[in-house]
Amino acid sequence: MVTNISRNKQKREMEKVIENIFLQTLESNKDKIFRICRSYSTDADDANDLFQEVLFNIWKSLPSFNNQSNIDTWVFRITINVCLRAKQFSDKKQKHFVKFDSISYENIVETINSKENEDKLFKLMKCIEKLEGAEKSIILLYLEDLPYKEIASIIGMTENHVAVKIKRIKNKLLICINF
Amino acid sequence: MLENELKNIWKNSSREELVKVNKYNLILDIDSKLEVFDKKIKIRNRGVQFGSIIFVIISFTIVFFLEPELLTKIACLSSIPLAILQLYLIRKVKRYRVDDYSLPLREFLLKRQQYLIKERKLVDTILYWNIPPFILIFTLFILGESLSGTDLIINILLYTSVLVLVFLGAKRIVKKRFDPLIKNVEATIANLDSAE
Repeated sequence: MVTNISRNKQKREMEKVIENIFLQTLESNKDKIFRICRSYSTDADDANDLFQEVLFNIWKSLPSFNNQSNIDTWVFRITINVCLRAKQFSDKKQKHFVKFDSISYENIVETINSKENEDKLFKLMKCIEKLEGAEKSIILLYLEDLPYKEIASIIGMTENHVAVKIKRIKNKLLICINF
Repeated sequence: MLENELKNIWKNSSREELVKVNKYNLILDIDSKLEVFDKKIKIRNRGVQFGSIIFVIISFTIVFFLEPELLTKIACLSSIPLAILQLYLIRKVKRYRVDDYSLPLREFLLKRQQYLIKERKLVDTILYWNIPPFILIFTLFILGESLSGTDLIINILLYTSVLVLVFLGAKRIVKKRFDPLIKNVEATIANLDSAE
């Protein structure tokens, strides 16, 4: 009886720790995750659905997180894998996303960006859209300022290979934008 | 446009749309969805797989006791291991399903490719593992029932149509679903591996 109570207490404490890790990770990465999801989506609704699907998968996988990698790296792995998988099904209407009422999206009317920056962003998005699946994942992580080492760990390639790829993709992107 | 400028534009882009998370409700929200999700998966897996087995076993056991003909009884008995074999083959392939999204992208894609190829092979080879045993059982039924004339023709036409539909359906799934998916995954892996 006493053992059961202490076991339940331990379980509750463990759940609390997982909850805290989840909320902290979400707080520090939500904007980055959302931007990646938006790049893999066709419209705003699609991006919101994909973002929630990513959160759902992070929460589902969190108990199996084993500290072998940085939690942020691990979160980005899930984000990229979920987004790529969803993209593969995007034309098949096979997406069954979960929806959470606790997440909302707010559009800010007084935009901080200037008209010129908005145009640049539009161009950048269009050029990213043209990239192949894996190239897109790599450049998105690069734009989020992730170090090469972390990108290599997320993608599953050597750091050197990532560096070469980023250089090539960046050139491609800059030519596309300035064209 | 310079690299740093690219990064700044990219990072500022989400300021136009803020993600607001109600932390207190999120955990409850996710937990309840996870419970519903797990339940749905369990129901789907057990429902489809064990449901069909139980249906086959019960219905053929009833026919087994009702039918006096020996060949029909043999056909009924043969249906049960066939259903179990089919369940085994499906479950064997499902073991390769990739549910771990925390794998590095390349590893995730390779595992996904392996799973899709195995699933495609299972559907594509339906002519060998599903249709011949079905024909054998059907022939035993026909012989056991001693059907002749119009009854025989109607039965043959009916079963042949089912078999043709199953075969064509499987080929369509391979062409429309599996081939594009496998091609897409292969292209993504090739894109990762290329030094270009």
